[in-house]
Amino acid sequence: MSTILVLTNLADGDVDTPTLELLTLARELGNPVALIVGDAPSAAVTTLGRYGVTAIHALDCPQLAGSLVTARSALVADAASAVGADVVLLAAGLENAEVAALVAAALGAALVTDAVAAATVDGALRVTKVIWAGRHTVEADVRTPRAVLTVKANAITPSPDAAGGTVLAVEVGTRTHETARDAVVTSLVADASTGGPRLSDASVVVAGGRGTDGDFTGVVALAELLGGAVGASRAAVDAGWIGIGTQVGQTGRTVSPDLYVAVGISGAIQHVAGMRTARRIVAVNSDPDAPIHRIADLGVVGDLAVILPAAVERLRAHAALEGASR
Amino acid sequence: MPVTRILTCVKFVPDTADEVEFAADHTIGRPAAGSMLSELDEYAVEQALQLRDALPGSTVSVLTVGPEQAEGALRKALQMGADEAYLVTDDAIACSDVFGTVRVLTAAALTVPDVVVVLCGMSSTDGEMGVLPALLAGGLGWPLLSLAATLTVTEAGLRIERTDEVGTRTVEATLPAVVSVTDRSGEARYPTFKDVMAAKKKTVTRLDLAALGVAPAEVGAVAARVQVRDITRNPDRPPGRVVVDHEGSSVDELVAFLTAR
Repeated sequence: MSTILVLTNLADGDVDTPTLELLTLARELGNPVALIVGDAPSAAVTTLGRYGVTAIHALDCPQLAGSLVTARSALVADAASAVGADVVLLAAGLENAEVAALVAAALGAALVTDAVAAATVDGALRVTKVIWAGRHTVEADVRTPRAVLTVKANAITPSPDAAGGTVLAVEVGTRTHETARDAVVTSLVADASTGGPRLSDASVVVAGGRGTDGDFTGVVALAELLGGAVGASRAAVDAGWIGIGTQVGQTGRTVSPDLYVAVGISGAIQHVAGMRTARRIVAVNSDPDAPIHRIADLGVVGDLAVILPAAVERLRAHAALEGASR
Repeated sequence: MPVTRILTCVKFVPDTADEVEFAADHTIGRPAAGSMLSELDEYAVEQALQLRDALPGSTVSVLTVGPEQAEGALRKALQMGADEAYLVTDDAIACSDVFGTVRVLTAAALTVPDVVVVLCGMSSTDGEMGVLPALLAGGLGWPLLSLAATLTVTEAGLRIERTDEVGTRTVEATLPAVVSVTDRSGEARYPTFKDVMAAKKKTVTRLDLAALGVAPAEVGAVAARVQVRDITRNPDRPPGRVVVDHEGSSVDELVAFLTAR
């Protein structure tokens, strides 16, 4: 039985949704083993047990904060070797792509980033990913004994293990990283957490662009009412209207929500690259020729200054009625 | 005084806006027509040129690994203002995965003399993995300064600002170092007619695996860690509905769409 090491990420003291997706995949491929960097809170330990994890390792490293990706990568590679992992799974993302690559290099393992599925086929690990601006799906077999995969959020439906539920003891350890020729992180400003779900795994994203003219109040209100996260186009971020952490696109975040609402966004290729896998797309843009209207399931051509407040008001009334009828 | 080199790695890529044809063996061609210097690499060339201004006595060398026609990417970079170019080309390199490519680039950065900075784009526009700079730094044993939105020369070396899911970090390193820059690092300059004329006189040096001391077994399809089994074209999204609003006439339909789950 293969050993699958899952790099476990926490949110609010418990296992985050992308990790639940990884654990679900890990169970299909073999025996899931969880690796937490830092402490293992009890809520996370319980959740990991429910998801069928067979061992939990919590590893810390004093050099982590000062190291860009090398200390983290070395920690994961060490853990993978220690547990005899055949496959290492990480959630897809900019930093995790680098960590995954360095882990793969250390292990002599194959690397596939942004996988949407994986399965054992005729004894080989077959991994699926989408390429070429979403136009092609590729299936590829791993040729090395070990593999490191980053897996896109919302590609796998998380499900707990029917037989799971054991509360496992956590194996705790510390590692020291040699930083001699490393780059040094001298400051960190963490992503400002706005209320609501995280952009990377939200099921609804409401994004604003140049057409908002700097006024994101409608976008934020709509996101709140729909229980979604706020996103933005590069133009809005460059104009200083909203933080860079909300940028969706080729060089920002890639999102795969159930519903993507593009407000005042033209739909340039670089933006679309970050949201084209959304299940449903609706756009509000006054330019009938804006490329966004070509990929939207519903494109509204009109003045968002009129449309957005009216939609927000309608939704507020809707929510009030629902609240009243309970 | 020895020249110090800022080695900028660039890729010759097909236009992702175009349809791509896969051969029966799942490979793509990189036709001269319709291929270009990867857009994200233009930012790397731009930052290299600005770094040259900040580092007296330095030279911008641009390098690519690819078939003969990949020289097209080098020509564009030379027109932007790079001083010299290197084309690493060898039949054995075809179908290399990122590890094979990094093996070649690592050897090249150590073969080309006096390299103090290796500059890359944040990812290629066709492969879109964004891992090459990290692997290259690992291969060279040099510090990694990746995903830089800003790049500054300091007394000790270089400083960058980088934003990702973790947040925004300031990262510093001594030279030599590997740097990758994002599209937020600064508008890439457009060559003037004078730049284009001047580029014609600049040298492109060809290197093969033997010149780099890399064995064919380390690269190409034979060394690739993953084997493609199948590629299918996904159906395009069906055309949606476009509604023209008149003083809020579309709001009902919009709200119905938003609340349908």
